[in-house]
Amino acid sequence: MNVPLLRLEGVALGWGRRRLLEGIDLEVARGEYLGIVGPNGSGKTTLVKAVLGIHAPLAGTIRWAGGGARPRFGYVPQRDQIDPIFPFTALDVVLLPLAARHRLRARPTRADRRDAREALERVGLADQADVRYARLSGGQRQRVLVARALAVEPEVLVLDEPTSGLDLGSAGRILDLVDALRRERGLAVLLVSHDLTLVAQRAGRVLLLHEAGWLSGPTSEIVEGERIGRLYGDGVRVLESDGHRVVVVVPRAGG
Amino acid sequence: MEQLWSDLRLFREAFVGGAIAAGLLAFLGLHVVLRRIVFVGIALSQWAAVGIAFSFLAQSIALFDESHVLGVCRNHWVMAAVGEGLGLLLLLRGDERVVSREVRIGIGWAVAGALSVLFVAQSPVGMEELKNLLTGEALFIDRSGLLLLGATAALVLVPGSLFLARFLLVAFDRDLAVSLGVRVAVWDALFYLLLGLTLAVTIHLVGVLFAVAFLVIPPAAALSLARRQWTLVLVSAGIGVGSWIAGFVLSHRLDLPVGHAAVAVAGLVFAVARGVRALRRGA
Repeated sequence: MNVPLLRLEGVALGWGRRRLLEGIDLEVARGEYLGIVGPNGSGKTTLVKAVLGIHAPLAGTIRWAGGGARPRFGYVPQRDQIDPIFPFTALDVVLLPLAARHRLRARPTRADRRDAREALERVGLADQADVRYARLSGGQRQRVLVARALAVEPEVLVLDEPTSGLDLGSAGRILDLVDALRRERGLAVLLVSHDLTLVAQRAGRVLLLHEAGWLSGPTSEIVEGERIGRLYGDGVRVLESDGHRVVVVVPRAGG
Repeated sequence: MEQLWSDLRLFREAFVGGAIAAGLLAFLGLHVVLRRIVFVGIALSQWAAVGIAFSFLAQSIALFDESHVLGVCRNHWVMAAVGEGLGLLLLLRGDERVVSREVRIGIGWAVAGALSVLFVAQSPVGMEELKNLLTGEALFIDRSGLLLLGATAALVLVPGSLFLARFLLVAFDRDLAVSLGVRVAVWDALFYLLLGLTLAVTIHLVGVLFAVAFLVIPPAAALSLARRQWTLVLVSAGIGVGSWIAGFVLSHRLDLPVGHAAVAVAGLVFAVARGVRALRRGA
């Protein structure tokens, strides 16, 4: 296993005095693909926000590789967090984190623009660069946010429900791109999703959060029929098809 | 026309000062509108007015004698800043789940309005001063006021322009900014410092109505007309300065109060901008 890029030690998370998660010990190595799953309100987004530094843990520590500098993060938030009042084009949205890297420069550089256009091209939106972000379709906005995360050349890519609102083809292309970058650049990927099938097919390891605690391990061990049925309800089944795991909800008889 | 040039010479400082105030407020107001904190801006201006009103009252109280350290309370600028600081504490701190920011802004605005009247009612200068404060007397900007406005504009425009990308990043997506290692609390503090400074100076020189109007109307109009970040900044500041000039000319022609005329012109520009946007969308 590679040297851990990120290490959580005894981390507790929550709001005010309410603790959502406790005692989380976890390591994420370069090139690793970690899926984070769990029912609504189990603390998936809170956990990744703690990793990103947005929420401070109530207890425990989050360390970077060798106790050194914070890695470069690429972050794809849930799409509805973005305020449409801003009159930004798709290119502007991708440029924001690039331009903000410069301490004393009022405008993005030519290199920033080139990098931003390249990132948009990677997600298939080169021809939409000058369209207002608010006017793009839901799926296109999601791809712009992925382009924005990739443009900063991250070491860790954090994706919070990146395929919500995307059709199957677009979702597949985005996740294939993430996979390719992970292999090429040794990118660590943290993928938060409700879609257990997607996580089972993509992630090498899964962190499963639930009311009573958390579990982490290889995907084949965690996304397993009995466990998933217990956590999500009797109707939820894990099936095998062509070597892939598929999680489905079986309608109740007479329902 | 000759009369207009003659008046312009007579009110040179007021004319230039009003233009600087309008442009500066419109520049900073773009961030206020984009951050959806218009009411924070309005409430803050009211708290600056409380500070200034208290400084008038302090001038008649022995405790605030100039020879004493508390004599600083007689200074309008210091007290405007103190009022804003107090207002910011009340507006931005607190548990959102118990009392929302919107409610705190409403309460703060109402209480500040009442305190301004109560302080000035007890001061020797009385209600006339409060009326000037609220309605503004941009025409009375003198050389020292102009210098102060120029210095404030330099202090605000330089960091506001150099760090435009950072300010926009923090306003647009705070979580992304934090994930990139940007210290959002520092940038927020700098933004509110610049906003507080601008409001304290402009309210005392041009009045609450003028300050609030130019903080909101030109940026709102610019958002209907422009798309690119820097075009937005320039269009917003341009509408601010242009509305002031048009208001100045209009007030000269029709013998109207200049500040109110400028605000009315800005309102008209906003209506036209909305019309242009609607036409563009329909086209």
